[in-house]
Amino acid sequence: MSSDVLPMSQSHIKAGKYLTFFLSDEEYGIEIMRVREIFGMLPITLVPQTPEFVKGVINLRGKVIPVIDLRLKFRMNKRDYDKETCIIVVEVDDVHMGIVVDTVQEVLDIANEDIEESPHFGTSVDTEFILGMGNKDNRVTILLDVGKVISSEDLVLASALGGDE
Amino acid sequence: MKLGTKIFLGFSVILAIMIALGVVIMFQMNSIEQESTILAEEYVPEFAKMSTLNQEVLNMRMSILGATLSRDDKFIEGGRNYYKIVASNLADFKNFVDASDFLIKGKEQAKELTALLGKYNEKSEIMYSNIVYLKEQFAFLAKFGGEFVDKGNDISSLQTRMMDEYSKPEDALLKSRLEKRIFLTFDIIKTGLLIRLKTVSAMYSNKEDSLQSVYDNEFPKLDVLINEVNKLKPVGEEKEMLQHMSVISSQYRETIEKYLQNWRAMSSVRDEAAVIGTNFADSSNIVAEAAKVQSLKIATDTNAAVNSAIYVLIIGLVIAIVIGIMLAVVITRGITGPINAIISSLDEAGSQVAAASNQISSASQSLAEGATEQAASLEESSSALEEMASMTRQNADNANNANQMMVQTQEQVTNGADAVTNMSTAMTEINDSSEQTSRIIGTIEEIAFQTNLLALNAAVEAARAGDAGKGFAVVADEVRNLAQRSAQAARDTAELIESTVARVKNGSSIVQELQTSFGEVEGSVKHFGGLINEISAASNEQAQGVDQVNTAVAQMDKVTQTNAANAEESASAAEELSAQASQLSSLVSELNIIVTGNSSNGDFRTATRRPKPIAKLSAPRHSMGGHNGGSLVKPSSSSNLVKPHEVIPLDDDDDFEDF
Repeated sequence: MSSDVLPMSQSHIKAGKYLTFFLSDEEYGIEIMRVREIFGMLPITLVPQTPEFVKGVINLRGKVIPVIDLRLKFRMNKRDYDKETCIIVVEVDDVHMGIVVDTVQEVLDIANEDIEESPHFGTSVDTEFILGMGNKDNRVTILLDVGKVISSEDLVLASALGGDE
Repeated sequence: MKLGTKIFLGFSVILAIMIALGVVIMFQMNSIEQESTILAEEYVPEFAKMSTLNQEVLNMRMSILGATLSRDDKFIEGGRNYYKIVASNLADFKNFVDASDFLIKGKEQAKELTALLGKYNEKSEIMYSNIVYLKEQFAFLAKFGGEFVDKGNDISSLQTRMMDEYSKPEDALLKSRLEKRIFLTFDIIKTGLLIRLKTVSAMYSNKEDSLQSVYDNEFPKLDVLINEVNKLKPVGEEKEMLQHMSVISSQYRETIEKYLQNWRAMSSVRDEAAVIGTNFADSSNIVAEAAKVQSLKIATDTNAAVNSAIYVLIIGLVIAIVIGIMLAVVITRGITGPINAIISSLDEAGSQVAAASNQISSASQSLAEGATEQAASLEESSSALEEMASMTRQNADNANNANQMMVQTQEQVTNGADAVTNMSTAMTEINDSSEQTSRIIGTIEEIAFQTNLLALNAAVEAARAGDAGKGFAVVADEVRNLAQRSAQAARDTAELIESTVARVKNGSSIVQELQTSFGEVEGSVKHFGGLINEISAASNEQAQGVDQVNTAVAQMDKVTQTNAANAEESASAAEELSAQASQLSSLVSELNIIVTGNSSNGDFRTATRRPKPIAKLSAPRHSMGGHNGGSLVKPSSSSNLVKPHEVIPLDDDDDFEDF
């Protein structure tokens, strides 16, 4: 299955395991290989002079990891954190970064035939960070390309904040 | 305000106005005095000095004119003297105006006058020298004229002697020539005399033109005559003498010419001097005019100031008189008004006292009657009270029984209330344990969530492990299912607990209502007990009260008798009051005479009002006297008017013998 993951430069659509989570009422999925760890909310240390979606850094077993709020990153409404709020640590280009999501759902195995192309809304709307739309058991899961969601600027920032491996 | 203060204030106001008026007039007069001082010390002296100066200048000019006309040394000397006087006067004037602050025109003109006077003096000195020359030339003229005539006479006598020598016939030609010469010589002498006469005449008549015509017309004639004589060949001594005569004639002529020149020069100087004199006069006139104008102005100002002072004085006096009259009226009213008010109120009071004494007497009548009725009522009251006392005692007994029953009821109600309270406590405990259960369920949910996360992490790790982690992935999935099921169970339990809590709450509120109801019942029972207690106590007190009322009735009897005695005293007091009221009336009328000078008003009042109270007082007494010792009579007319508490028995104790 890992062999399917690697050639993603040619086709965004790929079957495999996805960790699904919710933001508001929508379910999103990220490739399981990008995920390093999942845990509940931890106290976040605020870092000044950073964009609004950068919540700060957490201390995860002695390691400092930057955290961004995916809601804010996606320009969605802010929501108070509760006991279901989770942080998913992802790895992009050897940089670890925590992303805050409303709640984690499950690990979903999606076959090729269950994946559809990401929709096109015209040139003005950028949908590059969407790998495709998972459609399984009448549930639509937006499959995200974490590498695109987190831009290189974010990664530089994350490196500066201590997300380097 | 006090009467004295009012009068003092009135006079003070008038005095203040007078003082103000005096001060204002004083200021006006002071300014007038200042103006007058300026007039007297500046402008009038200036004018006087200027007049004197003018007079002296005129004198000087007269002298100079006299000098030019008469060429007399006296006039010249006079002119110089007058010049000195004028110069000193002008200097004096100049000093005077320079010292003054007001005489501006005078200052200006004094300088000009000084300059003019200097010029004038120069001109007059020139004239004086001209006059001296003229006198000299006049003397020369007299001398030459005399010589000419003498010489003519000499020639004439010589010719006459020669005439005698030409007696011979051959001398006839010579003789005829000589004859002609003799006639011509006579003409020459005649002409010379005419010239002298005309010259003197022109000089004394002061006619330059005449002298000029002598010079122009007569001398050519003389020259013609002398030439004719010389043509006729005068001889010897005659010839010499004629030549000498001719020389004298030409000298005379030259002198006249010089004289004329001098004269003309003097005339022109005199004319210039006259112009200067006129200027001088004009200039001094300006000063005089200015002084006059200023004087007039000051006079007008002073006059205006005096007039305004008079106006101020008149207006001030009028204001003072008006205010005085007003104050007099106000103060007089202020004095008489209150006194009149006092008089009228005294009068009123007198009549009221009289009326009151009347009412007192009639009230006494009613009082006596009331006392009779009172006595009868008292007897009835006494028997009614006995009956009431027995009923009251029975009441008290019943009330005591009811009270005991109420105490029992109260105990039962208290027991019920305690049971309800216990139930309420039990409900609260159920609620507490429900909440504890909720917390436990929360913990279970938390554990389920964490387990779920662990399962997901395990799944992730399994996925990363690839094919080696497949079995582990299945285990992780199972763990996750278990976690979800336990979470679901916890949620169901929570719902159940929630409904239990809601029901307990409902039960609690019902128990609370029950408790309130019990409380109310308890309160009512207590209230009843209290009421019954009160009824019991009241009945006991009532019994005591009835006894006290009995005692009071006995006391009332005594009091009624005392009232009768008091009524008699008040009757005599009313009589005295009436007498004093009439005395007050006479005093009021006297005061009225003092204030208004008219006694009719006060007399009228006292005359009309005084008899009334007396008549009213006396009427009830008579009726009382008639029924003395018997039953009392109701006065039908006065009973309505008199209030019950005013009723005072007027008569003796005999009226109450029936009680």
